[in-house]
Amino acid sequence: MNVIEVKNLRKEFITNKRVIKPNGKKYLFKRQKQIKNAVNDISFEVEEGETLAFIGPNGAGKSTTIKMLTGILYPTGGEIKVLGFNPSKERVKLSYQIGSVFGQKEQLWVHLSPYENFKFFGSIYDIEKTKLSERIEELSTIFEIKEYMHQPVKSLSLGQRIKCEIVASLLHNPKMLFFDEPTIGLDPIAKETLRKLIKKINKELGTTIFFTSHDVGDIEEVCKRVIIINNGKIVLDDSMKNLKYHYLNKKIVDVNLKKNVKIKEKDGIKVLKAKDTLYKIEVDMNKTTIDELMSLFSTEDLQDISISSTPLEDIIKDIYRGKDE
Amino acid sequence: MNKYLNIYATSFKQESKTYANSLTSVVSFVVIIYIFQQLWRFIYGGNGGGTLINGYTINMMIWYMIMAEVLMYSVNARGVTRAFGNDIKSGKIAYQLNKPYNYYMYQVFSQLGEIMWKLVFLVPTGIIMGLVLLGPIQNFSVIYVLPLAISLLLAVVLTAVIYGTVGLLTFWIEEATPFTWIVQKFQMLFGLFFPPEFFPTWLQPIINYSPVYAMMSGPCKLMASFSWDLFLNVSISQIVYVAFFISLGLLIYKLGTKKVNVNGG
Amino acid sequence: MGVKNNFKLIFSYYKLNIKKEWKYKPSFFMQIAMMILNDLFFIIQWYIIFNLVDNIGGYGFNETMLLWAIAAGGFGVSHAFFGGAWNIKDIVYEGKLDVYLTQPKNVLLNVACSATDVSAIGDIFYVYVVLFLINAHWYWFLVIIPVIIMAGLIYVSVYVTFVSLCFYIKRGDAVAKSVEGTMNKAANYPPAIYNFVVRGLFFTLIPTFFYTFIPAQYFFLTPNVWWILISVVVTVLWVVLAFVSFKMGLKKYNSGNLMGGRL
Repeated sequence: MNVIEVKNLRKEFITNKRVIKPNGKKYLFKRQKQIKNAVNDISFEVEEGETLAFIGPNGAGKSTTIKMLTGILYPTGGEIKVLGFNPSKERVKLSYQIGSVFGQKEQLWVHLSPYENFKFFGSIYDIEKTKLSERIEELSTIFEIKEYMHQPVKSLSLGQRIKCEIVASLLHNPKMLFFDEPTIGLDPIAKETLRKLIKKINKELGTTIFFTSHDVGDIEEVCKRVIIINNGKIVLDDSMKNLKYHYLNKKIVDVNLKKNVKIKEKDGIKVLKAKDTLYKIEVDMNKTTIDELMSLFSTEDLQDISISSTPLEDIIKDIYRGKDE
Repeated sequence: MNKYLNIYATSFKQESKTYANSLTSVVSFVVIIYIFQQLWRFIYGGNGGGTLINGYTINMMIWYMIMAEVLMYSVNARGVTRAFGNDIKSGKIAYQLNKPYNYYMYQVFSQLGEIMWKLVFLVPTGIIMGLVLLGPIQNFSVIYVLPLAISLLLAVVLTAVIYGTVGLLTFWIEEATPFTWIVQKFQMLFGLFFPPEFFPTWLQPIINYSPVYAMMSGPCKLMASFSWDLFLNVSISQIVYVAFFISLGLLIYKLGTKKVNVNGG
Repeated sequence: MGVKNNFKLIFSYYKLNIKKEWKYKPSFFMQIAMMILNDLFFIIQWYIIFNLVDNIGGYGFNETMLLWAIAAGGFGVSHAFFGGAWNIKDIVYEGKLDVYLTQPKNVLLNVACSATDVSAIGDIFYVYVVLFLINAHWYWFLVIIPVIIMAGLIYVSVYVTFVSLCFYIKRGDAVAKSVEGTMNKAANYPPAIYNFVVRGLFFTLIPTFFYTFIPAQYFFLTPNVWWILISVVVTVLWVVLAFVSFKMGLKKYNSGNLMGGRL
């Protein structure tokens, strides 16, 4: 069963910019209309129980899309159905069925404890008292927040806070959970916790998960399906497996050696940049291993090494290149 | 001295970018002057220049009120107290101590920049309102412009310094704005609404020797009916109080920073 | 559901807000006390004025104090129960409306109830202080309750109607603030001081008269059923106007996108 159906969705933002005179100053009254197509004709479907990541660089249109799906923004054109509802017309009905966690837009009252907050959210979602207590008990066990549930939110760490944010959005037992950039601004440990939680929610509660991110790391662990969006258009809609095979298999290795060594390229190992003792090397994990790379120079010569995934921008470039061919 | 003038200029420039705020305060200013003008008209019985109340004609009364509102609107008392108090509250004051200027004077000049910007639009608005509502002031001479400007400036400097000094109390108490509020209430009650002559005789000398006179009543009375004697009298009061409150502010600041040095903020 | 659940929401917001403020007890009482004192200061002002003149268009000290009490009560009710309305500007410009939009409640009601201005409670107390002071009839103490609720609703509705401009233009709040300021100031003076044109304005676009003068005159001084009905209808109209203009604005809400372009 499809829980989300999106057809030819579009969103325009219109701004009036003051026109700049040739001498660099602004006109007082002259304005120019600027239209930005934040989301430009996208279509996709999501099935019940899926974990879908919606990724793209900053300004690609991910947040705009998720905000249209949750009824925050009015679309300029196209059709949306979420759990059978039209979000802009049936916002209230829909909101009983979905939960949302928006990174950096906290919904908790910081001066009060998470527990007091949960009680409050209970009344927002019209949850019965006994049911609410049961639910708080259940979720606080799953998320392991009991020990700090009665401290003011402002005294909690970022990782603890995000856990409580998620509990707050799960109180009314939503069928779907939306995350907008949930990992933004989190430290690596908090990020890891969050990723595990999302997996857990999907597995133990059976909630369909839809989330946006500009961090490739998020999707590698959490998702089975990925949609990549850029400049308001979908550039890829594929399973995680395929994506991993085609695009996430390359690692970028930066090495700094003690002396100048010539590193020979071979199948799957490509030197992108070499300057004195600094090398930037791309390693195709389908064809070779990091060990193979390490054997190209003596470990004693190694001064510094760092391994990272291909940046999202490069993957998108790759995808475009692949299309052109 | 040069750097303080720069601080002043920068703050003036920054404030001048807030068109919308300026517009809102002009509207509010115009509305309040209109209301009070109507009110006084009613109190004077609508028969114009003839009636005298406590020695004031209606025209004198309204010019008094316009000047008083200019003074009231040009200094945002709460804002000044906060500006002085915020860095102390947040502990940022510790970083200001090793800068090559006196923090207290820095704030004074920065506040004056803001106030000057407000005067730029409030004074013309006030004058236009007065001329439209009443016509020219009787027995007015161009020579009075300069002393009136001096008196206005000294009044806003004094007001800013007083509220700034209140802000320095933040060294010892959590929140200084309640004190600002009390001072402001005195300023309004004894200066803004009525000239000193409207109060009981035993209270009048107290008002005339209080800072409220230098902040409000003095310059407003000058506006209502100018005389060189009065100007001299008001100026002396203003200069004495400005000197007193600046010294007091510097002293409090010095005591306060000692406390910061000991406690580490 | 609708109405009942919305009332429950208002109630739980109120509980939460008080709880929050209660954590800083000294400042809680301080704020309330200062507001009462603030209002008392103005009594002195009027005392002096009515020493100069007997009455202003039939309004003496007591009648003017009644105007003040209603204005203070209306201001108090609007800020104590719908204090969040005054955050609309920030909530819209900073894209903070998102959270409210994902919750299953009327967005305007949700936002308006989300904050309480504690000092406003002082204004509500002041209403009764004044009624004692002017030696009011016993039933005035009861009639004042619906009156200040209506005044509060008109006050907040006018502000919301104008602040909804924030969805369309930058600094739409400047307009709303000016209208609110005018209404607030003008409400405290006997209506006789205004000329014909201004009176027209105060009956319509800036409904100052329905905020204080009409209730004072026709609920208390010279009770009149027709004027009572009219003022109920006008209040309802302004509330509806507030909801409609806010809802229309929501379609233009851009969730803080293009912030750079706006501010």
